Amino acid sequence: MADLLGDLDELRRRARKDRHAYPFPVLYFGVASFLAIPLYQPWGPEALRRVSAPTWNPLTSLGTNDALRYPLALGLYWLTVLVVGALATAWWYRRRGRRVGIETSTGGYLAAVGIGVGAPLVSEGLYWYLPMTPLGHWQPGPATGIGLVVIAAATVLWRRRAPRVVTVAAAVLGTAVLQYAQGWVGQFIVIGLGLVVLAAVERSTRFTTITAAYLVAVCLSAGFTPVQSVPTTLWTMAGVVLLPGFVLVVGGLVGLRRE
Amino acid sequence: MSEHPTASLDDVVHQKHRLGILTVAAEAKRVEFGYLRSTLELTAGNLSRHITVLEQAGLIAVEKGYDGKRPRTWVSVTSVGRTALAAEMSALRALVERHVASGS
Repeated sequence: MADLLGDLDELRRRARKDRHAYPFPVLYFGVASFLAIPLYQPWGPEALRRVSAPTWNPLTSLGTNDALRYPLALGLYWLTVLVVGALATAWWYRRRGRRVGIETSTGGYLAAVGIGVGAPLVSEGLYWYLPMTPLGHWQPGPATGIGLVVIAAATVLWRRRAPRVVTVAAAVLGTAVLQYAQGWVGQFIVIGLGLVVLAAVERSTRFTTITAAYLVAVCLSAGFTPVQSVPTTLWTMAGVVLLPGFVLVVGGLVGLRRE
Repeated sequence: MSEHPTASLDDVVHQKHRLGILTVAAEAKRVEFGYLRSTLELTAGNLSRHITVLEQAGLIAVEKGYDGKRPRTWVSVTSVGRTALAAEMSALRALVERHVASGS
């Protein structure tokens, strides 16, 4: 009987290993992060004046702001990278599944990226509504904490198979609050959401470790990138992509070598 | 006195190869006939018979299609199958624990 259980464990391990296809999305988002660097060109001395005059722009929650010389181009770049990356990842998993003979579900991954890409619209609403409320005086720290707690609650609701509309509403709200507080790394939050879901579906220890390292890198980038430093240079602005991008590229290469 | 774990074993699920098919299928969205055949080291006829038994019990769903000109058969586990597999695994673990406890 113990032998049978051991055989079944071995079968399960083999099935999981044969489903692994994570190096592609990890490498894709890593390379895309570095390719964004030229678009982080700052305005220079005018920057502070421009930041004090905000305009309605949902792309500010996807890693851009008015201190950049090309905010629209950078916002559109990240939007394109996220949408194309999600579709390409789903295609890649399907193609690999058909070739190997064992398919991974990518519905949850696409839903997570969809929530992350759609949440900036809600986030922008918060940007305009919150300043008129006591919540508007909150620092990014507490708002970040609230966003993470709401996302954690959405995860619990999902695990307990709560009504989908409640789960999705909680996920969108949590992501929007997080992007409202940390808009400068909003694009990395979307990538992170997708990778967390993919890692849960793949059940790969290595992929889970890479994803955890990436999330730590995003937190460090959000906390320590000298965006407000004067004078602003390409590297003070683009520094935000270096650590998350590095972790993804290295993680993807390690995955390619080991899988 | 609690019921003996063997009472929880399901004859349809308990057969070794059928348990293997359910275990592999439960790990994926769907799994191809050829993959199951090579992983479980079964002949096509033998695998086909086990799949028919599981399908008739509503534990798996079978989908036939083509990949280019090649006919392909895909197997996916149903929610009933997932529940039956979980019950079988816990019954097996309970049996092993009982055996270990009685031997010590």
